[in-house]
Amino acid sequence: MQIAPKRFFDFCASHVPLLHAIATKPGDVSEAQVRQLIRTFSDTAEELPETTWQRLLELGVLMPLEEGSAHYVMAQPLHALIEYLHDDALPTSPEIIQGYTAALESARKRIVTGVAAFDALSVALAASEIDHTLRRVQEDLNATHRAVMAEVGRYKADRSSVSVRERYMRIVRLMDQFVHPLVEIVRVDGLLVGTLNELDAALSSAREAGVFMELASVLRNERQIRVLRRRAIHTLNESRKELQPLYDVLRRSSSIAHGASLALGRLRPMKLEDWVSNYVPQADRATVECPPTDAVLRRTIHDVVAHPPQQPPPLSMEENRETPADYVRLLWLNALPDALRSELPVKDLTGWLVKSFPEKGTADALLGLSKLLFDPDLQVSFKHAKAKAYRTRDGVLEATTISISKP
Amino acid sequence: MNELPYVKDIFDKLRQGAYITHEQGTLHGPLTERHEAYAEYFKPLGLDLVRHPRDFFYFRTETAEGTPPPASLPPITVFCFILIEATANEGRPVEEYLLTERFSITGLPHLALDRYKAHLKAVGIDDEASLRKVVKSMARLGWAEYFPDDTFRFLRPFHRVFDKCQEISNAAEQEAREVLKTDDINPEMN
Repeated sequence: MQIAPKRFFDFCASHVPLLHAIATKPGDVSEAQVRQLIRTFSDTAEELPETTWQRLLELGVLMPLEEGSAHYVMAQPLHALIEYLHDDALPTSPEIIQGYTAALESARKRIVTGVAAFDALSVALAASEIDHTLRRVQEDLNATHRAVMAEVGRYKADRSSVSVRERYMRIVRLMDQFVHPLVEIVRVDGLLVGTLNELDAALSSAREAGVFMELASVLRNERQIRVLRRRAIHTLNESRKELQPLYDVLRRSSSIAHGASLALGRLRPMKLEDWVSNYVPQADRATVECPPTDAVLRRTIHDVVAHPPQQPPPLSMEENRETPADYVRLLWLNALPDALRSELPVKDLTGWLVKSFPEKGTADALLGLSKLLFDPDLQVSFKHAKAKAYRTRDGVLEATTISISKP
Repeated sequence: MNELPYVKDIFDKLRQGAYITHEQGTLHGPLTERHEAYAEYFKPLGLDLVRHPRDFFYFRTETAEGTPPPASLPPITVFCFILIEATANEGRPVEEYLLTERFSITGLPHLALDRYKAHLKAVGIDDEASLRKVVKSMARLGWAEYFPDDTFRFLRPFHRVFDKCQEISNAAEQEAREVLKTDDINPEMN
């Protein structure tokens, strides 16, 4: 049904508080709720509530959620207009901006293809889509800024008893879910600016190639890109500047309050002495009766006794006749694969190792086992059986059976 | 070292366990300018001259760290924690409010809630007179200033209570993070 604009705006003008009340109701509204709002916000002497209700439906102010439903939502264009007029705004999520970026990228590709194919119509359509998307990006970023300003305003003006934790969570939500991710997207080396730069180049090539019949549209796009590139980051930085001090103050306040509540909550369940040692600040009077204290004297005497420092151990410059133990171990490890090869296949590697070298301790046995397991020339397989115990010179190794065959 | 100004006055003040804040301008000024030189001077005596980030000074001694706190400190701590919690619940910025307002003993929230009363009872406080005693103890510690009209205000060294609260909160968050880390899902359990 065609709605007469004058009638529509006349109705809106005479029902501003009612429309604002409906717009600010989260989600949908039931017929009963709307009728209640009509009684609260409309002049019933001038217009019967039933008439107001009928007009809301006739003029398309309210739309049923689905055919025959008794639940309604405000028509989206009017909702947006009311938000605009009342400076109410919802922050834009980074996903939405990413969606716009994807749309711009897709339009850019169509321009590039259109330029290559000298298809003026598809270039014109893509340019028109770009125009539309760029406007929406800027509008949404502005809406985020307005939402931030409104929250900051509420924070400063609202002295009602909303807990620090709740306020903190609101600010943190704005900061972490909206402003910070958006700054990441619109920063100089971010996703949006990269897309805008490529778009700019595609539009320039369309203009230079003479594919575009209507030059004004390309020029408008280029102008918008320049403005968006400059203003997007500025708008978000302004939002961040507004939020950051509140974020810092509230984060500290919230942490202090959290600590105090936590300590109080543990006061009665704990023994008082334990509570005192954990939660009472070490902030008592550090009275100094007669410095230096015993501890200081003891330390000073120790320093004197320990001075001069001990000589380092003399370094032996002569060769020792005994072969170092580590060297012996290395020789044994290196010879191990050859010793095993002569006895392949071995059904129980660990058993073979501890039987063949009973003089070796657990550490050496493990080293030997590792050496054999990781030998690239040997084929090792594990049997998923129960673990067996193998006695070494100084302990017991527990392992499942490992068999080894010829390479 | 001898050219450090007011070294005797500073030592006399701090050795009593007092704090030097910007309100003691003649002593605070030289300490601010040459904090490291003063700290070096007192170090051989086993005295650690601490400069708090909120710009006040105090001595930390090894003996003070090791010995149990005086009996007045637990009631003071509970008193402060309750005030902090009540301030936060009212939606006020905790530090700004507590360090700028002047409080009257009769207007305190401590005896308004049964939960607070129970906390206070655990440390031997059950009426307004005991609250007053706690405030006077705080004044002796240098955390507060008590006025003859039964009001008081917190002084800058009260930040040490805020620091403790933050420490408790951070430790709890760290604990929670560690619990999450150790509770990784074991795929074999599925």
